[in-house]
Amino acid sequence: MKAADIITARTPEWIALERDVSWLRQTRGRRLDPDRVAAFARRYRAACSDLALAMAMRFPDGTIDYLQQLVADAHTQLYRIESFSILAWLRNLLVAVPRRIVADPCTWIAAAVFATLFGGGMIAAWLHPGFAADVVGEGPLSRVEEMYAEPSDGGGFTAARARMAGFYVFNNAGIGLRCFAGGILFGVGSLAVLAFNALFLGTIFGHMLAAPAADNFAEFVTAHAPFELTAIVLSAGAGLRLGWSVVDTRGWCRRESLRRTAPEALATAGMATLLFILAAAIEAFVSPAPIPRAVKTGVACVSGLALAAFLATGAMRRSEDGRAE
Amino acid sequence: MASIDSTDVARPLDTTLVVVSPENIAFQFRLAGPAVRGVAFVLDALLILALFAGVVFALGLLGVVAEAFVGLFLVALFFVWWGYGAACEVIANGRTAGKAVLGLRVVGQTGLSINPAQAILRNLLRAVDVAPPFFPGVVSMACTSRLQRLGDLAAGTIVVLDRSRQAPRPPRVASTSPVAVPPGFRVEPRLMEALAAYVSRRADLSPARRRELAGIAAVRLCAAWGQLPPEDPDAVVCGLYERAIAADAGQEP
Repeated sequence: MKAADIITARTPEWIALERDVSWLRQTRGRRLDPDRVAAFARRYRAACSDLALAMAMRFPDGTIDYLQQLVADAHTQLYRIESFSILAWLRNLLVAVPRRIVADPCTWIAAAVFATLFGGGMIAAWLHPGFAADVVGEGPLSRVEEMYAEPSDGGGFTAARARMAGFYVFNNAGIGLRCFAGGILFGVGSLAVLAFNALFLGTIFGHMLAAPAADNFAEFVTAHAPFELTAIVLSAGAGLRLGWSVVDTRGWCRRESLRRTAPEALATAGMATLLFILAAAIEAFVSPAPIPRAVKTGVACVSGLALAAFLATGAMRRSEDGRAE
Repeated sequence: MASIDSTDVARPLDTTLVVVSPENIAFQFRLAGPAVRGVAFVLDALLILALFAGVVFALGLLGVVAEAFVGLFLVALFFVWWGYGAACEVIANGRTAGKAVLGLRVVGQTGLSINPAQAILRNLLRAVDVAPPFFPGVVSMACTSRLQRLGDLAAGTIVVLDRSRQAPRPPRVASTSPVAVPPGFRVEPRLMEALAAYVSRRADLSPARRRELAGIAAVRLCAAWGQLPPEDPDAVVCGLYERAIAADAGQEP
């Protein structure tokens, strides 16, 4: 038997396997014709043995390269994990994610860093009139002052608010995702973004609350504050978790530890992004709306309580699990 | 007769990843390096920019630059900017448009298809990987044997070359004049490798070049066998290759 004969005889099967692979790529997730899947598996095994034969018998390089690629492609299609159920996803979101957030020291470290710098910035700006200008800069600070010089505009839904909603989503949620991603550098990126934002926001808060427009400012920031401040803390917490997994590997190699932790951190970052988007909607449509201040305070209370309840369920589940063990 | 052991050939010091499947066959993925991946990234970024520039231009032409549209536009920009890569890689099986153009594909580091969480993770972390001035992703690729950027490390993925393939041409061997190979001559593995490489490339060579290359082996072999220098070295080499393959298949000629 010559090499040429073997290759000529097997080529139709290989081409059929190639077709099967592109067919499987296109019909991802749908119900598949079982006969064809069985034929695909058989062809794949046959191609595996052809590759073994080709390598052992030193077939021409082109043939071996081709078979390597073919087997690799088919392998990628044959062995895959695709178990997505909406129920499992919801359970994960409502039970596993809050439990992890509450149990994770990274969350609390991020919260502590944020609270310290925010509070520090606020007190410093409150006590020293020059501090805010040093931190934020003269120009931006006067723009902030201008923004809140007048009470929020009257009228109902305005297009300007829709524009601002888009801007808040793009800007704030983008900062949150960048804050999370920066965590992979041993958590340094997350901490830097978190610290900068905490100090910046705290300083502006302190400055504005001492300014003549304090009322306008307080009225504007109340409604969306719980979601937005929690979101930035959660983003940084997720980033810290990512970075810390490289430092404390719990017995895995660093790469493996990172790979195992990353999906958990991703879920937290996803949660934070959701909160950023909700906060953007509130910030654009509720905060500047000409409605009684009590309503805005109510929104803040409800959103804050909802968040607390969400996290508390996680914490309670955890203690139940602890007892069960 | 010719016992050819595939393990004595050193694995090339190359950008490949060997995966052993449950069928106990080891196959290679060819890994994609920073240059080609950088080009794919730039293509994707240009595509997104062109898309949004097109939308802006169209809206401008129609005169509907209402502020509400700006809001929708920014929300869309946010989702596309952060989600484009992940969505493409989930839907198109590990390829974005840029990757498809350059023949790249993202797969799990064990050779499996990637799942949505992996796709989202590696695309979110790109924000860090392309951050100047140090470009951590490039540094990471240089430091890992699988050429993974940080997003790949976290998601457990690799980027492989997946160029469109051509079905192999059966080696076209010269109409072999019978080669007088002395009985008992063993084709050493390294010689066999050289023969296979020659046979797979000879179709692309001019007759003069075939003579030259095949002559290197054929003249020495014939001298060793105590024969005259061959008239057609190409035929000798092809004949020897066929004979060795046949011998290996267990059919003595």
